[in-house]
This record gives sequence, structure tokens and C-alpha cells, in this order.
Amino acid sequence: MSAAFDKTVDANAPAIVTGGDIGDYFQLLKPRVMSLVIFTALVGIVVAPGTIHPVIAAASLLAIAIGAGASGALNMWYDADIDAIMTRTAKRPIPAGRITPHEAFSFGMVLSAGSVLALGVFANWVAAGLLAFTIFFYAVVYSMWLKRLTPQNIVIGGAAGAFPPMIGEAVVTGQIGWAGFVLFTIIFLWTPPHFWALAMVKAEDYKRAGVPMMPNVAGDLSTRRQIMAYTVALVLFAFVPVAMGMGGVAYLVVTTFGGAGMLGIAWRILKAGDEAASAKAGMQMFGFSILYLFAVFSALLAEHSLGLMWALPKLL
Amino acid sequence: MSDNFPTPPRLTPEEERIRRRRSMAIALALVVLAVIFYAVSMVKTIR
Repeated sequence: MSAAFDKTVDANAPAIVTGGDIGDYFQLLKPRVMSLVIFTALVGIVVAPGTIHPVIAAASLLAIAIGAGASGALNMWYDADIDAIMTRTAKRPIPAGRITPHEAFSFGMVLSAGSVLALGVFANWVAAGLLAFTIFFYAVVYSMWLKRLTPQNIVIGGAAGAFPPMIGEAVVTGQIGWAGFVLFTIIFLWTPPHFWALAMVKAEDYKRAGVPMMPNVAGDLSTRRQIMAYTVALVLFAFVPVAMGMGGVAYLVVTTFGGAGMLGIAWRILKAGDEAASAKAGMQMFGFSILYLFAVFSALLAEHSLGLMWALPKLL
Repeated sequence: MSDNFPTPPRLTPEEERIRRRRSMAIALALVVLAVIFYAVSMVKTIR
């Protein structure tokens, strides 16, 4: 750990005496990931069995968002060496030399501790404990351990991105319940097709950086088959909220059509004849999977918060 | 004794501007945090 802490991107670079601009620190928080975390945590809050004051919900969401951002900053601190090699990440504040690794580490640690304490005070300590575990899981288990060790990195590490709805439910109820667990599982199954599709397109980038992503280790065909397997599991599991009575007609329609789209693209990836077709389908999967997750969670949000719930008979 | 202390780095106007903006952002964040803590405390007390 100390070796990573001491690593500098360019030993000959002049010492930074001012620190980065506000925008650089904001970039350390991975705002796009943070927005997804806010959204999924909000859905967790809304579908949770119980009520919460809007001020406490908003303050809790802010704490969850900052906690997610803090883990992003710690990830960028640890990954600065490989970020500098990959074209997708070379312009991030640390490899670009705008923020030192020490500053990013301090920033991440202060925000981690602050967000967990704030969530404990705002909501409850179960939610705060889950947030602390999520930060630990992303920064230590995924970034420091799994990412450079195994091609299953994003499968297990993806759990970190799946925790926010569980935290959201815990904010309301003070415990971990089925609603949060189901939403967790949907995001967990969604992660491999989403990231492996990107890894197929950026395979050379990951290879140069020495990150063992699935296409580089298991090969293109195996990755395509696994994308299909996870997509089938995701599309089938996405019907569980309907069976539980958590999702109604609107959710059923969205998840059916969205699932069909996901399966269609996964099939195109599986049957891609050459590298160009495979890359094209991979980018389609990367983009459409974001839309799919957004649509599915939006349907739940609309049903539970806008009174659009036309419930179906419960099967579970 | 004072010779042992390193000379503070001289900042360019651009660096000074960045540092000032960052200090203001930290101050603003602390004010927002105080307001949120106050609002949450009020809500919890009233409930």
C-alpha cells in the first residue's frame, strides 16, 4: 500500500504547490458514476417499505453521493499508474499532473469518513455501516486487490456499484430488506455485460495497462458467451420485482421491452463475425445497457412516487 | 533558527486564483454542511 501511496506519475514534473482547481477535485469524484449512485439509491429509498421526511432523504442521498465520490477519488489515487497508460483515463487529474496522489488520497479519506459519519447522523448507523462497507469494497477489495488480479474483477467488484439501493432502503427502514437485495442483484447482474462490452472495444488499452479484463484473459469468444449468459440471467431476474409486487404494469412493460433489447444486442455480440462487428455490437451494448438500467429503475421510481402503480398478482 | 524554515513558494497570479477559489469552495461546502445538519436536526426534533 505504501508503494502505491508513494508512486508518482512523473518524477521530473515540477512540484505542485497550489493543488488542483475545483473542477479537478470534482472530477476525482467520478461525477457520472456518482449520478448513477444517487439515482439507484433514490429508487432504493422510494421502494423501501416505510416513509421518510424529504429533508432527511435529501441529506442522506447527498451523504451517499459523497461517499461514492470518495471511493472514486481513492480508486483514482490507487490507479494513477495504469490511468496514465490508458487513453480513456490519461487525462484524469492525477496522471495529468494537476493533483498529486497525496492530495487525492487525503481528499478521498476525508470525504469517506465525513460521508459515513454524516449518514449515521442524518439517517441511521445501519445505512452508514453499509456505506462504509461499500467504500471499503470499491477502494480496497476491487481497486487494490481484484482489479489487477483476476478477470472476474468487475463481477465481484461490481457489487460495490450495486450497494446504493440497499443503502437507500436502509436509510428508510434501518435494516437490509428484500427490496434492496433485489435491486442489488439487478445491478450486480447488469455490471458484467456492461463493462465487458467496453472491455472488448478497449481490449488493447487494458492489455497495455496490464489489467486482466475478460477479453484479454479468456479470449473474445468466451467473453461473448459470458455476456450472453449474464444478460439472460439479468433479463430473467428483472421479472422478480413483478412477482414480489414491487413492480407493476409499467415496470413489466419496460423490463420486457428493455430485456428484449438487451438480449438482441447480446445475441449480436455472440454472433459477430469479425472484430469490427464485435466492436460495434460491444459499443451498442455499453450504451444500451445504461439506457436499460435507467429505464427499469425509472419505471420503479414512477410507480412508487407518482402513483402510477397498477399492481399485478403477487407470486412471491 | 528561522533559516531552517524553507522559503514559501512564490505563487503566480493564476496559482493564487486557483488557491483562492479552492478556499472559497471549502468554506462554502462547510456552510452548506452546517445548514444541512441544522435542517436535519430541526426535522428530527419536530418529528
